[in-house]
Amino acid sequence: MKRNDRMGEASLCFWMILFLGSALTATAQTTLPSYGVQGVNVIQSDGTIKSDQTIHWAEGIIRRVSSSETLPSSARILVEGDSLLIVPAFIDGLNHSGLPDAEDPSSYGTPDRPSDPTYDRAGIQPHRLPESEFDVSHSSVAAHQSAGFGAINSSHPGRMMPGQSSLFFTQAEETFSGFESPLYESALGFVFQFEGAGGRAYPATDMAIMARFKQLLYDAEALQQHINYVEGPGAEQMETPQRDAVLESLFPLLNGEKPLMASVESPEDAERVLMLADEFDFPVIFATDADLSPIAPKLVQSATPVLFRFEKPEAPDWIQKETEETEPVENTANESVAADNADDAATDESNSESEQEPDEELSEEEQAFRARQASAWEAKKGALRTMLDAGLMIGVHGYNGNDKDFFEALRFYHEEGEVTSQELLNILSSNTAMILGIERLGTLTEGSVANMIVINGQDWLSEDATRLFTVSNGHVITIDND
Amino acid sequence: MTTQNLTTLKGLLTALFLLSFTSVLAQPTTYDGPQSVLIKNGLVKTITQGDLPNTDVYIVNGIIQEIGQDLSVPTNTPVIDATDKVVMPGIVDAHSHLNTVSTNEATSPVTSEITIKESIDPNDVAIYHALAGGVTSINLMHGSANVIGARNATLKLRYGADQFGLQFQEAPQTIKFALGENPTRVHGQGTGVQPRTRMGVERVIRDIFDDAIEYDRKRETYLEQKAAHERRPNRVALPVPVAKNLRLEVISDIIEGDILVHCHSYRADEIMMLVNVFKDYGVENYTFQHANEGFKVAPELAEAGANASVFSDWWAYKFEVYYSTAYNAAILHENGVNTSINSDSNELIRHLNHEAAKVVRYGGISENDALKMITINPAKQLGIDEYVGSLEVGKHGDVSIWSADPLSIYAVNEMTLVDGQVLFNRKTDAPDARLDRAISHDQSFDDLQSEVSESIRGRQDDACMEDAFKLFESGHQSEQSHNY
Repeated sequence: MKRNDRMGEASLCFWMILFLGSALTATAQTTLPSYGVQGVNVIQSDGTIKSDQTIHWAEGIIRRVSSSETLPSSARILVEGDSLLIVPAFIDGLNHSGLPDAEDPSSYGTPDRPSDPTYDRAGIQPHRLPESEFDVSHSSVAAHQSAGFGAINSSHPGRMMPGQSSLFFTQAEETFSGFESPLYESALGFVFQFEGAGGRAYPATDMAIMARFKQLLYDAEALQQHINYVEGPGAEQMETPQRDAVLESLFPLLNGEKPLMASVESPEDAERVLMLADEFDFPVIFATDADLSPIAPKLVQSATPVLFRFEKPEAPDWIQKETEETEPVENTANESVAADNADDAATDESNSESEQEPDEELSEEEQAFRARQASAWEAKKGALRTMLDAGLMIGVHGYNGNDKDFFEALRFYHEEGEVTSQELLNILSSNTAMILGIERLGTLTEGSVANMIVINGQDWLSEDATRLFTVSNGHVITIDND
Repeated sequence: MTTQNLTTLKGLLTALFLLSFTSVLAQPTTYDGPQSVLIKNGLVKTITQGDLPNTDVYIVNGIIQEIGQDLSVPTNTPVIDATDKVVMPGIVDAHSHLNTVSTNEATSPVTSEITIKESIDPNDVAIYHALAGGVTSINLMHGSANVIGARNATLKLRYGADQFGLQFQEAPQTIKFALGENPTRVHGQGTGVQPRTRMGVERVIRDIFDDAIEYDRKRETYLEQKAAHERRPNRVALPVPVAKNLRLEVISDIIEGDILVHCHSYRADEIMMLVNVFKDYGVENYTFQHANEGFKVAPELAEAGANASVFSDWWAYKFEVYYSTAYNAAILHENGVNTSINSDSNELIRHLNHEAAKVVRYGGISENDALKMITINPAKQLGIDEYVGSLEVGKHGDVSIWSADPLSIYAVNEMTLVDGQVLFNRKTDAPDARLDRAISHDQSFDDLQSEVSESIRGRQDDACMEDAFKLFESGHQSEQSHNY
């Protein structure tokens, strides 16, 4: 429930470098050789808050983080002032941003052999990498920039195995021929989800997806062995294997070198994925908005992290109603908002009637229902806290492009779910970087990639804080707060 | 005080009030593991060793240790007074889709690579409803859309356990086959692939059996050569790898007798077709499910050693199910076919005792033989009769305790134990039997009532086709999309 002190507008003090002008827009950038911020407050991933800090970065790398140090003369001062806060830029651990939408399933026809459709028709595309199609100027990437994301682990949308994910910055150098590649690291993991092939094609159900996945790896295992035999000694007479790009792309998964990034909707789904991981011995990263705390011991034991999706859950209708009923009381007291037309009056009358409806009129059965639902609601609110307390490594994924909703959800878990703002910041930055195995992101230390958010305010989570810039790979993105 | 604070305070008070109410109406007893208990002084229907009046059943760590009168047990042993009650083994249902996540993978005529063990919903309140009917073990089956469906999951209804804890670990693997209208409608009529006719159904089975035999030969040869090469790399050449094929390995296991077939069937001709196919491939110990025309070929089934798991009096829900009789179970039984009565329904599973009673009413078989049809006979069909299906020393402490003779229409199941733990208690259980983890924070009371009403109403015609019909109607069995 606690928020850090908000700073008043009067203390707002920063310098905009005028010549940046229109270059600092969210859509068109020019790489500048060197930037810096001065006299700002910085929150590190370990929770320490340092004031009067200078951060200097060049060519996308943080060169210096220190107190009261003057920037090199070649560096351009982006902002300065003690009213400003710098935090690590967020990292979206798994998303489809910057990539074309998936084909509409309603357009799927029935394949000639429904039981054995092509890989593509079955939604089995683990060989697919997003690099060639990722568009840094896509509106979904711009939405990430505005929310403070400096990097996105993006993969194609699709079905069972839509492809591998790669990590992209949310900004890149624009040249005459377009943007340079914002790719930071390719092929971080294999995306998996319980999505059937669609239409009358195999696999359609979760249990069939499990079986199809296993058979894929059996086939990949045999092919890898065959290739190894042929390429090794003593197999001169052996026929060469028929190459298969899909199966060959799975070798790193089969060899435990890359994780399965599994999107799940329940602990039971997660357990099923862990069954696959146990059989084939590969690491797993879960992407979910579900409470996986019931299987936390299994996740902790197998060092399986979770990328959590922040969406503010809806309270039960009857709790919402009770909350709303409180508000008219305040409104009545406030004469300035008194209803002055017939419709409003009718609505108020209706509200008044429902207010007077005593709980005693509820059946015993419904009272019992509400009692248990109240517990379920408490558990839902505390889900993230419970998972953290269980020792799970939690990151973030699935930002949906609406920063208002996103920050509302963050504040919900902070205020209602007892997750500290520092824990949330870590989830959004350093934890996600760690989960993805990216060492130089998520922190504001010398040598790290220059990904950060410049905030006007002292509490990054506060409703009153204003995000001014997102810095991604050293590129400065001005956030349009209008 | 601000509006927000007022709202928060009211919400807090409401939550506190309701949480205190919750402590009274907590979730039902959930499975904690095998327990010890003395069931004292009941009329014990052992099923296999007669009825024993004024008898105790002593369960230690989930296993029946002693059955007798006035048993001495350690003083701290919990005691259930069964005076004037009837104590019988937990009911076994050989055909159920009680708590599947999905029931039919209706996209391929053969899906033996799939297992229902990966489609168990451990949170479904239907498990509790079945316990209320005295049921303790079920055959959780794939549907009947495919000629060869998925492998099934034999479950013990350990309500509250997870998807692994529900599984009957000692049970042999079973698999679903299906003949007749369903697979021909789904595949032949639906997508234009074999089988379109009953002839085609036989062809599908024979072809996949032949493929499995060929696969098994190649795979075994490969593995042997690989092992030989590893022992003597200079003398034995490297073999070309043969990938493991899960679908064919399962079929191979059926032929080897390691997996028991449970086949959805109605007509006598198709039943005999499968008997002959299995004879050709040496498959034994299989069960015909439904088998409404089983009575026509009862002697042949007995000769083949086939089992039958049937409805007591359910038919006419589609063309191939018209030629039926309420004497089916009795005729099969009288001809020496091991016969069980099943539910195939989340409603009917709550009163299988009534279904068994109908066999006495129509077929005139003994009451004990009728009870066998919902206990030891289905246990035999599932290969679990060594553990459940009767009250005998050494068997699992799976028990139901009735207010009267369970075949009476007035009898009520009062208590159900699994592994010695009471998981249904009519007197003390809360009205809301949902597990805490199954409660939705945003479901309305009305929606819940509709859901419960739907789940306990009578059997839907052709319940075995769940999911397959959805596929027909929408053209898509899975359309949800992950919009990150």
